[in-house]
Parts: sequence; structure tokens; C-alpha cells
Amino acid sequence: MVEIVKNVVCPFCGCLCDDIEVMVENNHIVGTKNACRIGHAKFMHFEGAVRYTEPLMRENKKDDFKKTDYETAIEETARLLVESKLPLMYGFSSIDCNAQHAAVNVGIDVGAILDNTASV
Amino acid sequence: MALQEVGYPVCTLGEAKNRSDLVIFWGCNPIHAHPRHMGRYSVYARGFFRDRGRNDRTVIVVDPRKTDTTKLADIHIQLEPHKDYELACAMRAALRGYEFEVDSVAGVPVETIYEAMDLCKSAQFGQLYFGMGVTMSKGRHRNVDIAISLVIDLNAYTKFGLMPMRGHYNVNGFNQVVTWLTGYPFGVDLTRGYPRYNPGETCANDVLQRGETDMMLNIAADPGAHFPQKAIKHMTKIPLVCIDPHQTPTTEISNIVIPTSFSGLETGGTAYRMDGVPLELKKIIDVPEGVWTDKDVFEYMLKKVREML
Ligand code: SF4
Repeated sequence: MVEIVKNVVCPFCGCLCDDIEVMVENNHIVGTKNACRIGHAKFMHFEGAVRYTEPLMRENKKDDFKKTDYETAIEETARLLVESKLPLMYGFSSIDCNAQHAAVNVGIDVGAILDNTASV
Repeated sequence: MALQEVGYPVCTLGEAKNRSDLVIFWGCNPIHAHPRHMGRYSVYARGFFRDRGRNDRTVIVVDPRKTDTTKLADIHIQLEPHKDYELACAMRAALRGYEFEVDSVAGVPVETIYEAMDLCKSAQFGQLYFGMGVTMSKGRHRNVDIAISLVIDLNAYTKFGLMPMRGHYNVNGFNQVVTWLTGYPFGVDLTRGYPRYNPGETCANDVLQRGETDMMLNIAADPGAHFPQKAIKHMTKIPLVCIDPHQTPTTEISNIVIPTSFSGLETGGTAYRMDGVPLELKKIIDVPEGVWTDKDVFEYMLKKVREML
């Protein structure tokens, strides 16, 4: 059964078109209406070429990644942030505001530099 | 950045759709980067006072190249690359009625400049949209400064607004959130325990290129593909954590990768449109089993950080 979700906001460019209809079948997006070329392609193939579903870790950047769980990966990240003298947190532009809020609070607590992709 | 030094007149895209009868695109190519911008909001859209859509609007495009957007323009001001600042100064001069002693400025014939300014002056509601072409060319945020001054000058004659064309969908959201929490919109340095803001010193690229930062957390961006070589080189030397669902050039040089769900597809949330209107993102499909959301990750991280401090 194809289910149609109406008035979806397109999360792919700053226009945030809010009139997209998305066709969903078995938890997969099978089609869109009203989205532009870019939006449509992203809705259909948002997972991209390689999508990770588990956290990965390595001590040395030359080694291969080893799979780990979320708790370990995040705790290690927290430790790196706390121990660092001048940590940099960068990006933020493709996550939602609630996540940004929590992330900025992390930055305030550890004393980081916070910057985003605001070339415009 | 320049936006904070002088302030700027804003309006929502809805207002632009209903009212603007003159549109300038400066250093942006919406046909490619924001494909529905012209159709839904700025040019072709039929608005309350502009019910004939495109026929009710004049379109001026400022771009050194010929693009699909310039093809649709009534006037294409084809300036020489990196001469945005000069051109904007000339426009301000033309607006004030000064005579030019040259035939062209920034490669643009002065007649074209006069013509464009006459159109702007006689418009009822003008709107200037600018993109990376302005902020990435020589002069950078000073170009935005002068564009704002131009818009301020224009407001002596008519109503004129200005809006940056945001690329990523929630650039504006971050600026809002971090301003609300620290007082500055980006490039905030909290290392001294209080917020400092000095672009050129406290932005990502600055601290990377100078090799000052000793740890980096990259959140759903790809500096590994877009930053200057010198910055990337430093990124390969320090511990790097990526929060990103995808494999990217940046995840390739990182130590930890934490994948998350996609906001707006697998999780709901809030995002700010380029004109500052917040919209609610929808969850339309389920998150793959076991994958955390960005919010979960940062809340857990905050908890851990607080335990360690
Ligand atoms: S549909 Fe196209 S123009 Fe609209 S937000 Fe999505 S990518 Fe941008």
C-alpha cells in the first residue's frame, strides 16, 4: 500500500518548500510530488552511496575502523572534548534546532569554538 | 557577517511573493541551487498584489557568468569577476545622481547601471537576494556591507529588502539557536568561559589554518571536501569526530564516526527557512533499527560531559 504524506517540508535547501507530497511504501520513499529536481533526488536517494548505521572508532587514522556502540563512541567523544584545550565544533546546518540546542550546550560546557557553514 | 554591523531590512518570502515587483539576484543561481525559489516565492509566483506573476516583476541578475538564471533576466549585469564592491559603489553613486567620468565600471557600461537604478527607484517593493557569489568573491563580507548600504539608500525612494540565499536547509536555524544561547550568530569562541566573537580569528577555518585547535567535532558537514588544503591538513593531525549518516571525505580522515537519523525524513524537528520563518519538519519513515537521532546523541554527550567536568 502506498501511503501519501502531505505538506512535508523539504529538508534540502534554504527554501524549505512545505508543500511536498511523499509516497511511502513499506517504510520506503517511492515517489514525491511538487519537489524540484534536487529535492526529489534527495528524497529518493537520501541514504546516499554509503550509509553508516553503527558508530565506528579507530585510534590511529591509518587503521581500519572498528564497529562500536553509541554509548562508547559518544563517551569517547565527550572525553576528547573535555580534555581538549581548544575544541572546534563545526557544521550544524543540516540538523534540526532541538539537536542544535543540545549541541550548543555541549559547546558551552566544554568551552569550544562553535561555527557553522555560513558562507552565506 | 556584515549583516550585524549595520542591520538590514527583512521581510518574509510570503511578503516578497505578494508585493515585490522588482527582484535582484546577486551572485546566486536559484535555477540550480534553489530550483523552486523563483516559482514559489520570488518571480513567477502569483501574489496578492502581483497576480500576473512574472509579468508583474522586473528581474535583474548580477553575475559575472552567463547562467540559466541570467537567461531569464530582464537585465543581466555582467560584471567582471571580483568587482562586486566596485559595482555596488557605482550603483550607489548612480542612485544619488552623480555623473560618471568613465564609460564603464567593473566592466558594466554606465548606461546599464543608470538604467538598473532607475528601475529600482521606480519599483514599489524591491527585493535583493544574494548568494555565495557575493560572499565568496574578493571583499567577502564587505561586499555584503556595501549591498546593505545600497539597499538602505534605495529605501529613501521605495521599499527595498535584502535576503541571503541559504544553502543548507537549517543554516539560519543554527544562527538563531546559537545567538539565543551565546549572543553571537556563528564563529563563537567559548574557550575562555565567556563568549567571544571575532571572525577572522574565531571561525572554523581560522583556527584550523593556524593549527590552533587540538580536537574537532564535525556535525553533518563536509569540510574535508570544501575547506582549503591547509585546514584539511591540520584536520588529519588532530582527533576528529564526525556525526554524519554518510561516508564523506571528512569521515575518511576521522577517528570516530557517529551516524544519526535524517531530520525531516526519519525524525521531526524544527528548521528556519532563509527568511527566518521556523517550520516544522515531519517524520515520514522510521529510523533504521538501532540508529540514534542527532538530539539523542547530543543529549547523551551533554550528560557525559557534565559527569566528567
Ligand atoms: S523542493 Fe527544491 S527548492 Fe524546495 S526546499 Fe527542496 S530542494 Fe529546495
